[in-house]
Order: sequence, then C-alpha cells, then structure tokens
Amino acid sequence: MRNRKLLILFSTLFLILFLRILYIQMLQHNKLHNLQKKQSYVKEIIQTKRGDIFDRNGIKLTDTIMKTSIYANPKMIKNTEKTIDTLSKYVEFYFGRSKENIIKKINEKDSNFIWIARQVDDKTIKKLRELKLQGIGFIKEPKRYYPYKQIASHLIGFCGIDVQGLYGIEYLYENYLKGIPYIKTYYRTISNKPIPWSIKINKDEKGRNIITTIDFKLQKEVEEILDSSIKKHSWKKGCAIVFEPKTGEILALSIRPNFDPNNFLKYPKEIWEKPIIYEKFEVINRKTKHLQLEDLFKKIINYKTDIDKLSPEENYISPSTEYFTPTQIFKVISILANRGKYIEPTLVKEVRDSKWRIIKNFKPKQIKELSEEFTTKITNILLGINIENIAKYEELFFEKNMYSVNKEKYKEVKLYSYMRLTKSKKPEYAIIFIIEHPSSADNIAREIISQIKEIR
Amino acid sequence: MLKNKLFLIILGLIILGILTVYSTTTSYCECCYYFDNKLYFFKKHLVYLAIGIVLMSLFSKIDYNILKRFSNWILIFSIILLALTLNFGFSYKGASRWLNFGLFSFRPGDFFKLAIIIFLANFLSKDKLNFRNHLLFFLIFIFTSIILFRQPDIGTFLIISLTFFTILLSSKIGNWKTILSYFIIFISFIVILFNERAYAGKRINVFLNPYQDTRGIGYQTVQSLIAIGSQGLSGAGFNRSIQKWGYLPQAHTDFAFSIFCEELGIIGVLFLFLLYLGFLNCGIKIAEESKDNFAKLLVTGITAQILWQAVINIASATNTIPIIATSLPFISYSGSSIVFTLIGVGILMGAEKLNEK
Repeated sequence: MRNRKLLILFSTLFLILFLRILYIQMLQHNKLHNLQKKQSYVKEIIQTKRGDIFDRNGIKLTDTIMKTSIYANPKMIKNTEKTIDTLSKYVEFYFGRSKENIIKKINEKDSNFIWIARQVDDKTIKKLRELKLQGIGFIKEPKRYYPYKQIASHLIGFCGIDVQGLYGIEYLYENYLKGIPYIKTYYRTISNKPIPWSIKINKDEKGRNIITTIDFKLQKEVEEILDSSIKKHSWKKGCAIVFEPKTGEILALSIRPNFDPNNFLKYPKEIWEKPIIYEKFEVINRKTKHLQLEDLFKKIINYKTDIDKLSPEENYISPSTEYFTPTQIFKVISILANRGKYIEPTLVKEVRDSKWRIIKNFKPKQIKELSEEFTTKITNILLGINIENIAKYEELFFEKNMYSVNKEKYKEVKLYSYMRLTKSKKPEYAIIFIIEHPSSADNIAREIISQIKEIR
Repeated sequence: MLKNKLFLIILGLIILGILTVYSTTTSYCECCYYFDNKLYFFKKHLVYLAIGIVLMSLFSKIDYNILKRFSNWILIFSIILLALTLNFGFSYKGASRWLNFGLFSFRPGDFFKLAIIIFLANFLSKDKLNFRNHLLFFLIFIFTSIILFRQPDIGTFLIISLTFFTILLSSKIGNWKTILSYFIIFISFIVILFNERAYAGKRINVFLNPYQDTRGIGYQTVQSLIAIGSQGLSGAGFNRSIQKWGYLPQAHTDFAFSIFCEELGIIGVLFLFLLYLGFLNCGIKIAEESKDNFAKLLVTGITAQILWQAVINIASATNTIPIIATSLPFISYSGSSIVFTLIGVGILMGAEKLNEK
C-alpha cells in the first residue's frame, strides 16, 4: 500500500513537470524562440569577390587584395584633438578632409562610425595599431589592384574606393564583374563564431571574369614602342590600335597620355575623361561636304561599340554632323579592311564564371555587306583615299589630316593607317596610329608602324 | 523478467546519458578552454561509467546484510570525508564539494547520499525507536546539514531530506506524528539556514520573476527556459542545440536536461520520463517482494533518492522551483556521481536476486 503512494507521488510529480514542459514548449515557444534569435541569430550581407579581367591567352590583368582602413567611433574617443593630430602624422584623411573638419565631425557625435582613412598601407597600419588609440578601429576591405600598372590602363580602366567600376572595361562590364552580394545567416556561439550546422547561404555568386580580345604580349610591346618614341620625339597625345579586321577583335590599344590605375586620383581627370579616341575632329574636306551620307552607313557608324563606351562621359557624337571621333573613323577603316563588309570591333571575347565555365560568348554583332561602290565612296569622303577597285590591294597605307574642333585653339591631328587586306592568307591585321604632333608626325608614324609590323 | 526490465531501463538511461554528455561537452564547455581537448569530459564520463558498471555488477552479487552490518561505519566514514571537504576540498564556482586524489576527483556528497540511505534503512527498519535513537538521529542530521550548507550543497541536503521522509513514510514507525514532528524540525532548520544565506532569497526572486534581470541574476534561468522552449515540441535534433554554445552555463552538468529538451523535444522528454517511472516501478516491485524490512527500506531509499534528484533537477531547469544545483541522474555529466548511482542500482539488483532465491 505504502509503495503505491510512492508510485502516485512520483507519477504526479513527473506529470506536473511534463505539463510544465508542454506549457513552455507550446505557449512560450514564440517568446523564447525570439529571445534566442535576438541573442544568437546573425544575418550578414556579404559582397562577393569581384571578377577579374584577362587577356585573350588567360593572363590576369587585375586582382583584388585586402587592405586595412581606419575609422573612428566618436562615442569612444576621449581626446579627439590629440588623437586626430597623431593620426594626421601618418595618414591622409578620407575624402581629403582637413584635420579641423574631422574633429568637427567627431564632436557632432551623431553616429558610431566615421571614416578616417581608407585602404592604408600595411606598414602605417602596423605603427598605428601599436599606438592603441582609443576610439580608433581598423577594418579590412577589398581593393582593386592592377599588377601591370600603366599597361592597357585606358582599356582596363579602374575601380573606385568601394570597388565599383568607374572607367574602362571595369566600368563597361561592371554588371558581370561585381558579383552578386549574398545573404549568410547563422546562429553564433557566445564567442561570436558561427555554429557550423546553422550556416545558410542563399546564393554564392562570385563576380564573373572578363576575357578580353587583347593580346597582352603584343599590348606590352606596343606600349614600349610608344614609350620609346615619346622619349625620342617628345610628343604627348596619341593612340595606337592593332586589330584583326576579319574578326573585329582589338589586339592592342594604347593611348597616351596614360596613367597608373592603382593611383588614378593622382593624375589629371582629362586623361580619362577625354582621351584622344573620343575627341571630335573635322575630317571631311570642303569639296565633299555636300555629299550625303547614306542611312545604312549612318546606322553603322552610329552604332555604339565597346570602344565607344569605355568612359562614362558622353563622348559620342552623331555622324549626321561633319565631325567624327577616331573610334568612328576606326569603323570605316574596318569596313575598308574587310572589303566592304562591316564587322563590329570588339574588346571582349567571353565571360567566364569563377570555375572558368563560359557564361557568355561575344560574337561580332553586326555583319553587313556594303557595295563596292559605296565603300569606295565613303573611304574617299572620310579617309580621303581614292581607290577604284579594292580587290586589287593586299596592303594599304594612308594618312589623313584631322582638325580638332574641341578647343578654341586650332589643332591638327594626323591619322595613319596600315593594313593587310583580308584576301591574303597571311594573318590579316590593321594598325592605326593617331598623333597630335604635326611637325614630325610622318617620321614618328612610319617608325612606329614599322616597329609594330615587325613584332606582329 | 523484472531483472531484464530493470537492466533494459538502466541501459536506456545510460545510452541517453552518453548521447547527452557527448552533445553537451564536445561543443562548448570549459574543457575546450582549460584542457584544449574536446573529448576530455566525454572520455572521463565513459571511464566513470565503466567503473560504475563494474561496481554495479559487483554490488549486485553482495548480500545486502553485509551493508546492514557495517551501516554505522559506512556512515561515519562518509561523514568524515564530507567534513574533509570544508578544509581540504577544492573550490569550483564558489562551492567546495570535491576532494582531489590526483588522478581523479571525488565528491563525498555522492558517497554520503548512499551511506545515509543504508544507515536510515537500518535505523528505521526497527520496530520502535526510543528517545536516544531520535536524539542520535537528530544530531547526525544537524551535523551533516551544517557541513552541506557550508560547502554549500543545498541540492544534496534537499535530496537526502526528501529521501528520509520517503523512507520514513514506507517504514513501520512512520506514523503521522513522527513524520509531522520531523517535518517541523526540517522546515525550521531550512528557515534558519536560509536566513544566513543572502543568495537563497535572490534565487526565490528570480524564480518568481525570471525576466526581470535577464542579463544578471535571472540569466541562467532565462537561458534554460530558452533552451527548453525555443525549438518547440519537435526539438532541434540531436547535437543541434544552440544554447549549449556558451549561452547556458553548466549546460553539461546541472542544466543538461534543458539541452536534452532543446535537442530531442517533447518525445525525448516523454521517453526519459517513462524510463524514470519504469525504474520507479521496478524499485517498488523489488521492495514489495523483499523479505526483510531493511531490504524494503534500502531499495525504496535508493529508488526514491534517484527520482528525487531527477525531479529537483528538472523542476529547477524548468523554473518550477528556484534553482537548486544538482545533476540529472544518468543524463548529466556528473563525474564520480554516476559511479555511486550505479552502485545503488547494483544493490537493487542484489536485493532482486535474493528475492528470487
């Protein structure tokens, strides 16, 4: 009997406890689940690694490295003046702010975060860390790095401080290169580490890689030829393009003056805002001015290709006027080289993902057959060369004067072109050289074109 | 039949214990920091379990009359060890409950819990108690309670007291007058001792309103409730607790039940409760079938003690009572405690064998 009491006693106790647990798990579940989420659930938006730009043979032309930036937490800083004064000895303030401006911003204390300096070199960071300044923090962030510096700088372009493409292929193919930010959620341990099984990633799409048509070896040699010519003849502004008319692929494109995209802010803006290929020139002489350009030709020349869009600045001008940019003339040369067939000049061959699988293949967009009569006419008008029958030619070399209408000051620019026409079985290519140095332009151009011909 | 049933229940509890200790000690607990070895506590648990199983089978072969004969000496020895903790015990989180013997540490409280049952079974199995007997018992009670409160180890004190009342209730001398007078002594003792300890009052405050200070004094209770309730009835699944990653202090010892709930949900709880009640049922049957009074009370005492410990632990974790530190028998990592629990089970099995003869 007494033992039955024991059975009842403990059964009742366990029943009470069971009901208590049911109450907690059913009726308090939402409240407790929210409390747990509040203390240990983490949601992070993660920027994926930016894709890279490659030459046609797979040589990597860009890289993304991690750099340390410095920020201040105004609520933690004790002696603002002294701290900022110390920092000013080591770094240049973000956005070119003055010491006073930063101190003022910190004293306003309306946020927990103020940038002090971005992407600072490692040596300085090491020294600053040793100083243990109160309220000053360090944060790692990605920075775009261009290992070949000036080489193909106008083509590759550059990225801003937040790794967003601002110029060149970096700007033009931003959507492919940037990668899609993804959301990572997990429960963290008390020491802030993710609990492995709880990690959930919704999408992991790294930036895509851009494979250009550029032949890096050739590009490098063209750059060296231009550099040595500048050294010898001290000219300043010019451009050399090597391309394959039958495919439209640009193999090398070198513009002077150029810049180091790693430190693009140190150069005057005009270098990339208005490179010579986007300048406006008068090319039609007075005699031919009255001739009307055909609609088809207008359409072709008006079509924006990669080479027209490297800069975000509005450089394009309508061909209905009598002014043209070198990139438009370039299309005419391409038509001529292809004996009347228009193949669009391209800069990018394909887009590949981080596992090197092809995502997109770029084929020349427009292929239009133009009549021989028409080709003769437009080359006559725009290039000033009179060719009766293009089929006769294997090689062609010509020069063309262009008159800058961009500035008040009258400026003469010369365009030289050498090409092997596509009938030949040898590798067909064309070289265009533009120079703003009329006094000894002929010598310079002949020297440069013959040097490029040798390496080609 | 009963023998197999008891064996299977104990096996079930041991397996649940191994899983819980694995889950709670290999993720985040002191061992990762102090010993730089994730499996430190798990391996230790397995070693204690092995020792316990060996001793369990040894005690299942011993005639309990030997225990009866030495019951006074066993108690005296256990009290000496218990008293030693006050001077020689090592302190952990403010409590000095352990004696360190180099290779292993040992909690005299666990030994004392078993020794007092053997003593009480012998003491209360008599047909009548005179005043001298009562006085002797009262002195033992006062002395050991003071030691337990000094350590402090309120959990052991409470379990022993409740076990005493359970044995008293089952004994022949357990009439309502005796029970009431002992109950009055017990309550007044608790009131006097609790008044001396400031933290007892605080614990009652937390019990009444755990969400008042979730980052301070109510932290452990709230974290335990989060563990029990956050994953709902289904539980997160084995080894998928979030609370064990440093949020719930003592997740592998006193609060292992909360993690058990978080991972295995209501089904796991139901299974565990059925195992405990199955164990109770076996204990009651063995007691009923026992031929002499000492064996009846010994078996009742051992069974009741294990169950009281489970009830107190689960009630603390679910905030049904204020927090009282004690491990969950078979389930928590409890060091040497599991050895004495298994010795107790061995004595039960021994009594069962004698019944069969």
